[in-house]
Amino acid sequence: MIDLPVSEFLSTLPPHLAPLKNEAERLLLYPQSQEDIECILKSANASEAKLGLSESSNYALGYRPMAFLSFSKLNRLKRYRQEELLINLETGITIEQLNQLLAEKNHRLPHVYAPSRTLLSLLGEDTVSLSATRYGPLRQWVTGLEAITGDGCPIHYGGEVVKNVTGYDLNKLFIGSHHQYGLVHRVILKILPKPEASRTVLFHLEDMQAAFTLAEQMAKMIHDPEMLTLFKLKNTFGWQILVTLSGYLQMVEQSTEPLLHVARGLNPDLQELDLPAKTLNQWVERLDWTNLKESQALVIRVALPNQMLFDLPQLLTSFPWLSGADVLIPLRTGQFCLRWHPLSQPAYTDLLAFQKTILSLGGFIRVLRIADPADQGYFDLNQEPDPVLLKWQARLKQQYDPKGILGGGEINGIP
Amino acid sequence: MGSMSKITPTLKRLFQRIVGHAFVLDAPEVLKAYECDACVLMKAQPDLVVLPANTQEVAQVVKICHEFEIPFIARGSGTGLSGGTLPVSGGIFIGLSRMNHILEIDPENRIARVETGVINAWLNRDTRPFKLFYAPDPSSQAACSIGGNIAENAGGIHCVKYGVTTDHILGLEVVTPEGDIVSLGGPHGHYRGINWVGLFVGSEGTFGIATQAIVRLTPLPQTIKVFLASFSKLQHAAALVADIMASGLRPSALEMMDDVTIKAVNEAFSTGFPQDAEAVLLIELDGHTDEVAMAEQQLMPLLSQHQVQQLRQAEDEAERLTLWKARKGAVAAYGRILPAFYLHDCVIPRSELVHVLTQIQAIGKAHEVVIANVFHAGDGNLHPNILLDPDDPAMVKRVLAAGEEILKACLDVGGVLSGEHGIGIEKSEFMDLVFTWDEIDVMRRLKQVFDPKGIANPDKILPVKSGCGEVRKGLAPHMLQAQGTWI
Ligand SMILES: Cc1cc2nc3c(=O)[nH]c(=O)nc-3n(C[C@H](O)[C@H](O)[C@H](O)COP(=O)(O)OP(=O)(O)OC[C@H]3O[C@@H](n4cnc5c(N)ncnc54)[C@H](O)[C@@H]3O)c2cc1C
Repeated sequence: MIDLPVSEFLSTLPPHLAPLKNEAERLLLYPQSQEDIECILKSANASEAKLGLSESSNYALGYRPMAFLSFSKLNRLKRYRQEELLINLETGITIEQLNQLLAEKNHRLPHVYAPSRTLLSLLGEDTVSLSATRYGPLRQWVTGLEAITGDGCPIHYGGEVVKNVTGYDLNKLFIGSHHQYGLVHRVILKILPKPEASRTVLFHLEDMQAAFTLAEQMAKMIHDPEMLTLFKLKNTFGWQILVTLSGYLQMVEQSTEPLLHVARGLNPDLQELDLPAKTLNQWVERLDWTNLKESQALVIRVALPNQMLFDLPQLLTSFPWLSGADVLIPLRTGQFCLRWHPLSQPAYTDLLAFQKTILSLGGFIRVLRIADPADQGYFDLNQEPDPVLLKWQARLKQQYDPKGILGGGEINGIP
Repeated sequence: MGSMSKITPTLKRLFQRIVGHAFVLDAPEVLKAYECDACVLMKAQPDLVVLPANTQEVAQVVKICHEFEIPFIARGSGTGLSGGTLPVSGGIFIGLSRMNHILEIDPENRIARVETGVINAWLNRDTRPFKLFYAPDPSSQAACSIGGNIAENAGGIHCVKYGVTTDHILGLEVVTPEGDIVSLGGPHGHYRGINWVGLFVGSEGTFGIATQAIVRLTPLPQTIKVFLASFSKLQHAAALVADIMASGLRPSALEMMDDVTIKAVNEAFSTGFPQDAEAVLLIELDGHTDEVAMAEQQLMPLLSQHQVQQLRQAEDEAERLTLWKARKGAVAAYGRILPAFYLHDCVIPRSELVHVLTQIQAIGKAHEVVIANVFHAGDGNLHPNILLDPDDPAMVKRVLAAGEEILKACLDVGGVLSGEHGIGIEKSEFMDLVFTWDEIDVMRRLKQVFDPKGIANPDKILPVKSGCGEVRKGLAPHMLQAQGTWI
């Protein structure tokens, strides 16, 4: 049975927006244009029907969307400014689709993300890519966007230019705020020509300390790696280090040799040279822990100053229960991630103690995903301790989504 | 002065108690020194200048402003180019000049913590021994403050490769317009759900006062090469810029100067730029030595396709620094032609440079004004400086009209109003050429989140909707007088 606000909401939508039900009995809406999103949001506001996004699953405590929007039909290329190295797209496009488009012109988005991800979900989380070591966060590659605020107001910011300070930076309001204040349906991204050469090497080391030592030496030695990621996954052997070098052919060749030389000194148990793109993509997909397909896990992100990441072995051993976690450290990005599968996840109190230590080191932890809706309590760890920030956050919600249509109005555990 | 002063003797005493007698200034001759920033077309004096020594003092001063609804304006070094510090509605200046300490340089984590009154160039002086530098380098870096850079999201010569201020600010300590002290971001550069640092940077002092910043430091490149290329036609230089950027080459600087500028800097600095050229480009490549060599190989064929008149490579560090000194001093050199300038800061797609620069030349001719171009060409960030004599009202009128036409020419090709100088008061009247009123309202709502009473640097960025009989607070001379400011 459909409850009253939902039926009221649905009855106000034009026929082409009639919802479909998926196998999980979710009501799915497929907007195809900016006007469609505007219309859906305005109707939802009028009947106070809460909405979710099918491409994103970061929902706050107790939030039960009445219907879900899928952006899968909003995946069109709007303008390709090859001479400007800019691309203007709808955000429902997946990384795989985008990469295909760009490859035709010998271009690429240098950020390495799981092929199945949509730009919409990546922008909502401001997800740190594995190649952020060299290219910084995705937000730095966004020159403009179009969005509809929670209360149905269409806006644009920036444009097909690479620099801009015209008015308040609305890109920063919408990127990373988990779609709480509006839905970004269009984005303009900087892109790059494909490099002359690119080489990915994967090292496997059983011993944690050896893996960290090698990673630290590589970080010092390699000039500007595209990717330098250290990780440990359940059901795989020990620790692995994924390194990508890219640029001029001669530079890549020159850098690879000393890299292998240093590695030989630490005697890795296995090394795979020249990882093919397909294998790399499979790894990247496995390392994308906030991906919907990976939902059966508790995932936390820990922000820490860069150099402290090399001291992690100490930290990991001083909290023995951390040994059961999967670990992902994209070096020089100021953060790492930990993941637990449902049966091995730590107690809330253990995480609380861990958080205390991280805060004392000038960092923070953030719960990105929980394994089971019954574990919502973990989200309490996200609470922003500063009352001023909580006040500002509440005001933002009041300004842009006063009826709480989007995401239940919670980011840091408060409405 | 703007509105009737709200500063009673009692309030003045309160401020004196917080910062000390010597640091509350209201003598007329002192206030005169604060009557404008580097956008000299507009002038207005604050009611009072308060110079706190630390964050706590800033917070106490702002708390009083909040309680008595007194507008306050953060003031760094006053080099802003959009009238960002103009006290249009009166109020006090909170000057950051005493808060000028570099608190920590952490070479391991490549970060520094500074008070925001620190001058940009000092930070680079002090980080150099660690083989690190702070990348955003406005041409005014010898004078402007880190706080002013944060407020304007300043750019600079090397931002074409390294990014603008927002890409280098990891954390901030801010005094909110309600007088609270809050810490945003942190040494790791991440945030939890809302990018407060990102929102604050570029908000032009309208969301509060930044008192400390954690900034990202970048390793100094192993090798730097600078080339000076001259052209008989401005359009040839512009076409080369478009091709360089489309090729994917990432020069660390790509700056253009036109003939008016060439002559002015040659006179001021004896730089020896080709006197007969209509334009020169300064092209810098930096990075690992081998990488620079390969980039140079990639650059040379492009140069040969674009009618370069003369190509010269800076022989050594001294020559390189001289070239950059001339570039950074170009604006000062214009003083030899006319005493003042009015400067726009639009950004356009680089593929439109040829077209728009040609239009700017025509606009200059039509309005009989001298326009000198010196700009961040690699970013498409134009800086047409329209030279003027402020004591010649007819000329000022022509300058303003030419400025508006240039701006519209840039917007017509998909450009934006400002790339780095901010909107301030000077460009706020043009915001409705770029945004709908609904969009402007979305921005106004953001202002209300941080500053419900509207006392932090009021009247900036957001235009007042103008209908019949309503007055805009823009640059038109008669309107400035109507607002109590003058040219
Ligand atoms: C010759 C010349 C060359 C220039 N070249 C460049 C360039 O290459 N790139 C570029 O981007 N700009 C350039 N500028 C413009 C100017 O220098 C920058 O905008 C600079 O960032 C302003 O810094 P300031 O300390 O002088 O700020 P001010 O002029 O004092 O203030 C500017 C704005 O910042 C606010 N503000 C100041 N401090 C704070 C604070 N601590 N917290 C909050 N708000 C604050 C003020 O309220 C005001 O709105 C140039 C200016 C000149 C005169």
